Amino acid sequence: MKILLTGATGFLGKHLLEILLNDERISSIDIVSRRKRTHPSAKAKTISIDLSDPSSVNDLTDDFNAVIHLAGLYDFRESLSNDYSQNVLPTLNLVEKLKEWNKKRSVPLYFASSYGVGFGIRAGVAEEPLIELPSKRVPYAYTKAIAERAITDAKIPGAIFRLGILVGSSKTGAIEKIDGPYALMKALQGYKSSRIAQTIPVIPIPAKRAGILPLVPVDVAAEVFHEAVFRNSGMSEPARIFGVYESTSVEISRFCEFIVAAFTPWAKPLYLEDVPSPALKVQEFLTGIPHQTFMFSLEPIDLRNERFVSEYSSFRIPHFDTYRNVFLKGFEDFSGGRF
Amino acid sequence: MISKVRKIVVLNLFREGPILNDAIEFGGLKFNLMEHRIGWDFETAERLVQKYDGYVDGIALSGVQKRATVGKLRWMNPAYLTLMRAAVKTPVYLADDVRDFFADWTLRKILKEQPQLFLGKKVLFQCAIISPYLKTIAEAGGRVFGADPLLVAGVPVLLRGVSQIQAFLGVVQALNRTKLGAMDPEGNIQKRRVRERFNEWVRESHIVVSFLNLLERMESLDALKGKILVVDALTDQARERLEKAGVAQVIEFVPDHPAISQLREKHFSVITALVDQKRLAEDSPLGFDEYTLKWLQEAQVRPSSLRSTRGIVRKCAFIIHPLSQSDIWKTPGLSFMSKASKNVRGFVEQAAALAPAFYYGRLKGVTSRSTGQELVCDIYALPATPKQLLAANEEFIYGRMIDCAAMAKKRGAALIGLGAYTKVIGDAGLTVSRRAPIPVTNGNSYSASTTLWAARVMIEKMGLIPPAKNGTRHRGRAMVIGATGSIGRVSALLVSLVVDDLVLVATRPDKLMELREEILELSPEVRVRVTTNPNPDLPGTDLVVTATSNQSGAILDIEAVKPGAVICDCSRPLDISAEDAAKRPDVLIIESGEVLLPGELDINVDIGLPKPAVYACLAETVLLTLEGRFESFSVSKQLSMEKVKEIYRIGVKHGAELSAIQGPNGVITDEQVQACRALAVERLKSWEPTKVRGEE
Repeated sequence: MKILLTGATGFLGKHLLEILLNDERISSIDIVSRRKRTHPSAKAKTISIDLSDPSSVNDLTDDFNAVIHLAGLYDFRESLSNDYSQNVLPTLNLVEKLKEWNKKRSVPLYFASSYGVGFGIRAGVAEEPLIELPSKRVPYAYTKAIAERAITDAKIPGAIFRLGILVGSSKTGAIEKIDGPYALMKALQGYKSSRIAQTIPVIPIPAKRAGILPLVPVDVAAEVFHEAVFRNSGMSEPARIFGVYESTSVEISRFCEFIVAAFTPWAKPLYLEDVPSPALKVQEFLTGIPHQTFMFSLEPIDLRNERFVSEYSSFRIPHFDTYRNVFLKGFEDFSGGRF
Repeated sequence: MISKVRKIVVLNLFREGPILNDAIEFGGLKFNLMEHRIGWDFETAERLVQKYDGYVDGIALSGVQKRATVGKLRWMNPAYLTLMRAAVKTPVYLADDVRDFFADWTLRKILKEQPQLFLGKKVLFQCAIISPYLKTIAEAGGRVFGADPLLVAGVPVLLRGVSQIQAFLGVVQALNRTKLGAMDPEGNIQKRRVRERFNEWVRESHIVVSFLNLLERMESLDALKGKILVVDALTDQARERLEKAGVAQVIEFVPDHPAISQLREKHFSVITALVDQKRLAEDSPLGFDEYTLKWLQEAQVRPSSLRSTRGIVRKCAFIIHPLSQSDIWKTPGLSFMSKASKNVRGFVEQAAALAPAFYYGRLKGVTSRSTGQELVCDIYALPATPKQLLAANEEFIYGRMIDCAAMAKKRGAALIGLGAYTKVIGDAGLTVSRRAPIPVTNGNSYSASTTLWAARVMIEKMGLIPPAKNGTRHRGRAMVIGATGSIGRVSALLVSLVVDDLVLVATRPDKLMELREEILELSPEVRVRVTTNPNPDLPGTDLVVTATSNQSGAILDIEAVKPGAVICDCSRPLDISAEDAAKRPDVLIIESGEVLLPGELDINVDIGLPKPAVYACLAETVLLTLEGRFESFSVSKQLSMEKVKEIYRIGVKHGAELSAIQGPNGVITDEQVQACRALAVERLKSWEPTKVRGEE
């Protein structure tokens, strides 16, 4: 089997690439990268193109058995134009190519979307194609949703995985950068060394107490993609959608109490559910906790994922409680400090 | 040979949403349109122009204005310049030129049909500085106002007149903002305080000029109820919202043509791109403007007209009143009054006349046969009998009628008609039309038209006058009594077109001579005689039209009327008494023609006629509304022949027909006509008409 893989240098991409390289059923992997590089494995070859350019896909050969598209810009602070360039245009260009290929034979697409595409959609999204889009004010979610719609509108075969919040490996906790919930930990780590902070009994959390954190360890997410490639091989039905996160998930209050107890045991979390966003920015200035950290918890998001749970039942995403210590260790190893 | 599929990328700054792909054919060429709905984001637009430059055949920008021009002030949009410069190889298309052209063309066509459309009306522009039709509307007499400071900057200042709008453009120019888009009218319209103030201004206006993208951002369109809306284009969804909101009329600039209708959204920038791509494919030596004109002619593209409001149900209103005491007793709960004493009944009749007017019912289901336009008519009742109306102070009744008009306007009516005696009181609607918040019509034009129409129908049914052949006139005599009055004059002019012998009767010889000269100018081949006494000529007259204001005594000797003649009594109160009518069963007397409106009529109240017939005056209100003529068409007691003919033509166009024809004893049936004819034929055997004066 020959695979085209984008986003191989990202957090999820690295894990998945390793799994694919070790699978003998896969004969070769073409890795899309903007930079020229050579991969040490003979099975992998780098194609140096910028997928956001409309002509970039013109030179791709049509002998792939599957396309795994993980590339994207995951940074809540980015502008719409950057998110649009990195999240929408590459997907669009790949979809145009896939439409051509699929006229001759089935070439499925496996797309890394985000649970955030359901942000603020009161009617809910479940694991169905989007009808409504999230607000443009959250460019990441908005552009991911547009990319998803391009795939479902074109009826490309394969699967769309709406990933939860990617956290470190469930086995080692290893991470590559500080974002998402790790930003809270980084801020609290700073508090530990501040004498003034140690006198303040509360930690303002820019989140709703009852919000949910749909976490998924990166190794599990990579295994899901790996499994999907072989399950859907040769299928021509339009891509189905799966919510990839722990189905009972963890409440923000439970998560934050754990983290706060681990880092700043003298304080208790203070939730600011009803604070409008300008105040959140002030709070960010004061606490160092980016206001986007728990942004998706501020609005209801439909987290129903029965399809994933039933069809990928062999992949039980562990509950946070079972790997929370590993989670902390991963942060410690990355930040080089004990807590 | 496989023909090339041309790719056009559309950057839609009006909307946010998923990417849309469409494959279309235009002018024999195949196109793929890919629309990015990026909303009001110029940075992303610039990035996309750069990305697609050189890879597609054209880039169409929707939502970017090239320039703003008000008076002599002209301002080039820096955002447009930035975007144009972002592409080096691929042509970038905007909407301005094609849209401005269609806007002007459409407006001029509509103004030709309705020159009074904007005259004196308060016209509110959402963004006056970028509206290409500001000048045309101002020149057509519209009082223009601009909501620009509110929409673009959130400042609640209403610009009044072209000079203030020009001054505002000067401010915009002076500020030298980098992007027109930075002013974000779409974002501002969603803010509550901006929305509320804007809706306040809308309610005070007659006409609102907007853009689709701004309309779509408005949470509620209720303020537009009863208004006329001028907009660049509408989607089906927008049309539905406007219908629900009760907008009276919509003028759209996008032409109705199959090549354009196939576009999912009718962006003028896309139309520009398609036409230019066709020009390039043909390697035409013509410039874009010349080529566009050529294409418009070859493709027979026409501008939209008011008929494009199909699908939006229009509303009008009509005022009625009880014609006698017995009509009042039909009110639920008052039936017992019919048995009360005369004094008590009189007292209640007087008291009822003091009560305010109220919403009585509605007529719906009217649908034009030619345009498909649908209509609802709200019916309001003034609880005063003719006796009370004639006795009341005119100002008091005017006030009641104006209140009706205000109620009607609130419910979305764009025109109100006066029924029965409400059009007889005072100056027949002139004062009310000046003070009412919506136009008023007294229906007299169509009343006159249908009465004469009914007379013609009855003459044909009686069959005693040979029909005219090949444009010749009827060989018969007609007489108009009260010829110098308003209705009489119009009747005389119309009748003079179809008979060869006409007698004019009135009390003023000088006015008679004047009218005779007017008729001879119009119809020189007619023999026209004038007299102050109708009786000597009656025995030889086939058609008598009476239209006097006589209040006492008979206006003619009923025994002198020719057997089989048709008397058309247009006067109110009637000229021919019931007693006189009973004396001559061999003479056909008609009082009015009732009308059958097109569609499946549904009236939920009793208006004194067998359903589905309606009064001609109500029909005039309905027909004008179907036609989109929201104007005080018939006011005052003066009638115009042109208007009588015009409203008749409008009626024919939309499918109005004569229904029942009323006589002194109610609806005249065909059996009654035949019985009358039989008696007339018998009597004519021994009838000796008096010799005509002047022929002896």
